[in-house]
Amino acid sequence: MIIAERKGLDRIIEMLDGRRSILVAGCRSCVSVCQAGGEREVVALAEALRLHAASKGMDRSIDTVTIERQCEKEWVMEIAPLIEGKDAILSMACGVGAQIMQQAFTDVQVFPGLNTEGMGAPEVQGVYEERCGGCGDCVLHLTGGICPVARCSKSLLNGPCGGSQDGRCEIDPEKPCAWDMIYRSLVRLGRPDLLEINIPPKDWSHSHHGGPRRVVRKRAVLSEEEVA
Amino acid sequence: MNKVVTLICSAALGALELAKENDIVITDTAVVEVPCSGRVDEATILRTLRQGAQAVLVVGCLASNCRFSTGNFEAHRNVDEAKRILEEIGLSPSRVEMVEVSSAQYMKLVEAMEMMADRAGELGPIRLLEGDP
Amino acid sequence: MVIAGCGTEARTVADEVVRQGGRAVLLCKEPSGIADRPNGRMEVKASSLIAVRGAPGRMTAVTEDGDVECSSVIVADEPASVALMPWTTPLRSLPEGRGPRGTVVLDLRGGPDRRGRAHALEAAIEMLADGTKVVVLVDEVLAYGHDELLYRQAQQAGALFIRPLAVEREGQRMDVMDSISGAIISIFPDMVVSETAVNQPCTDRGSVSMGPLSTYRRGVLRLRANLLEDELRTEARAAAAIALRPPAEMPRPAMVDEGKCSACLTCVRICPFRAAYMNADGKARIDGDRCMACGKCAAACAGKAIALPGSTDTDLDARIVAAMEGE
Repeated sequence: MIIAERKGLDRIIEMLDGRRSILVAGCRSCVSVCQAGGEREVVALAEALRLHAASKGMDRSIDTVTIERQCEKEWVMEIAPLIEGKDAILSMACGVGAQIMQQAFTDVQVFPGLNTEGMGAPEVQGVYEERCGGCGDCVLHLTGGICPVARCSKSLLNGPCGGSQDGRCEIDPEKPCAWDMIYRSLVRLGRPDLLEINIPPKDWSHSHHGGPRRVVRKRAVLSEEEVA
Repeated sequence: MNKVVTLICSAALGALELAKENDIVITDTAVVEVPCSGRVDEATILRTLRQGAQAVLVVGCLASNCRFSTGNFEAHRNVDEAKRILEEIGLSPSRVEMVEVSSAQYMKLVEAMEMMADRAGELGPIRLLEGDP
Repeated sequence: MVIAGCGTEARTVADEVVRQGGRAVLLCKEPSGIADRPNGRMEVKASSLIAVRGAPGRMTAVTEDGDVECSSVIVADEPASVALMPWTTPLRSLPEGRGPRGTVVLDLRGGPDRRGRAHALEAAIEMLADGTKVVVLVDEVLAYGHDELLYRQAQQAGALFIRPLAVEREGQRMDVMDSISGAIISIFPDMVVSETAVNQPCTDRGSVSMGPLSTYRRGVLRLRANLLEDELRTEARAAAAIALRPPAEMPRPAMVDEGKCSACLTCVRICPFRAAYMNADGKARIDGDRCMACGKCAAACAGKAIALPGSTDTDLDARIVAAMEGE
């Protein structure tokens, strides 16, 4: 899922300077699971902003809503009545949701409450680790299920580098060496032979480096007549 | 209006009863019972401050003696989160505190409540911090 | 009620239950020397307890040979459950007992019983024949006859037996402190296997303030082990008395609003009583027979989807405001 981290409240307060009528909008999807922008965080944040306003003698109104998925137009449009009279929307969704919100509500500025940190999974409750590099050209079958782009600090395709020590990464010894993990995984799978394959340099044009990507699922695209 | 709000779990409530039996008078604090201290989340604490409380004390069981096994761990996490939030919005994190007591430790509880009352006195109401009406 | 166990403890409790006016069903795998009580107040079943369902007063003890309806369960003979290391695989899930390549750590601490141990060692010997490296963690090696033979075979096949004082996992590395030499051995296991690998002990002892002899399940009591004779008498008397009390009403459980549930698994992970689980529709649900209404899930829920009747946010706010106004 997408993992994100709430910006510091001091930063959020700075961004919202001068705004008087704010809607805090959360999302029930990924950011709920990684506990950054779900209903719980929305409610706590709203309370914090109200408390801050009270301490400054500031006249400010804060409304809250949590949207099923902030990246879906239909769900976003459902909350249109709540935008009436607002001069700021604080989006607690990932960068995608925040953009869809701005696209839907063109008159009211959207402020991002979160920093999106990539695609990952919970290691344990409360600890979310980046797992996928989004390169658009997946080679997990060659690396025993360990992503060399996301999990190797140098994104090496034919590692390890000389700095791998004791299964640890030289860039950050707190992190395991991805290629050490890849080796063990392939041995476990009984496929150490895959290590002998030289993975060619990635075609990064399939990743973001080739520009914003667009995926068309022909099977799902509706014809003009069907769109109600 | 009471300046301090004490959110106390059903197990630690015994300590409060014991205090009353020993003729200790507790003033200036509102006491609210929760089933387990783990029921208290950061939003509840913040809302309590917004309702006008100047300090909030969360009372739970001793570390490995929670009547509900591990509720007090959740309470600690949420109290810490509330403190972090207060700091980030420019208010004193010492307005919120958690204390662990057994149902026999009434003095420890009373001392904690008095300490929070002192803090509330020193820090004053939140509205008046900036001298604005 | 049902008493699970074979030893003196179990029999003492069973007798005490009968003496205090109750009926007892004793679950014991090898009940030699224990007879049914002629007055029908105690029955012996050659079976063992697998799981417990229901709430006090209407419990079901699930045994290997079927269910027994009872009012409560007293566990008097069970090895202490060992906290499993993360990613521990049950032995029975390996295809034909075959292990992966690399190093396998077979964790036999805290059990299993003799039969389980034998099964595990046989599997270890097969893995060793396949070329897998096997490290066996054991509590003690008390081996006679057939057991001794198996241990010897496993050792000769190349298994490394360690009796650990402590085991620590850090990332991929496992540090095992040998209790004899004090040396720390570092292993990078490719898999950790346990014969039981049951992550759901139904009879973990509760904390001190949860009540004497209590476990995480209301209606399930647990005797301490290694009691002296007079201690056992007192313990048995207390257990029987507690178990024979009229069942206390279960509190109103927490409720999940499925529409708000993000299936984040937080409640499932943090419930001390394992009352929260994911239902068939992939949404959280609270088992009313296990929920003790502590409210931890209501506080921790990422989507604010869980409400504890009587302690909802609205309830708490109202009580706080009322208390602050000195009512």
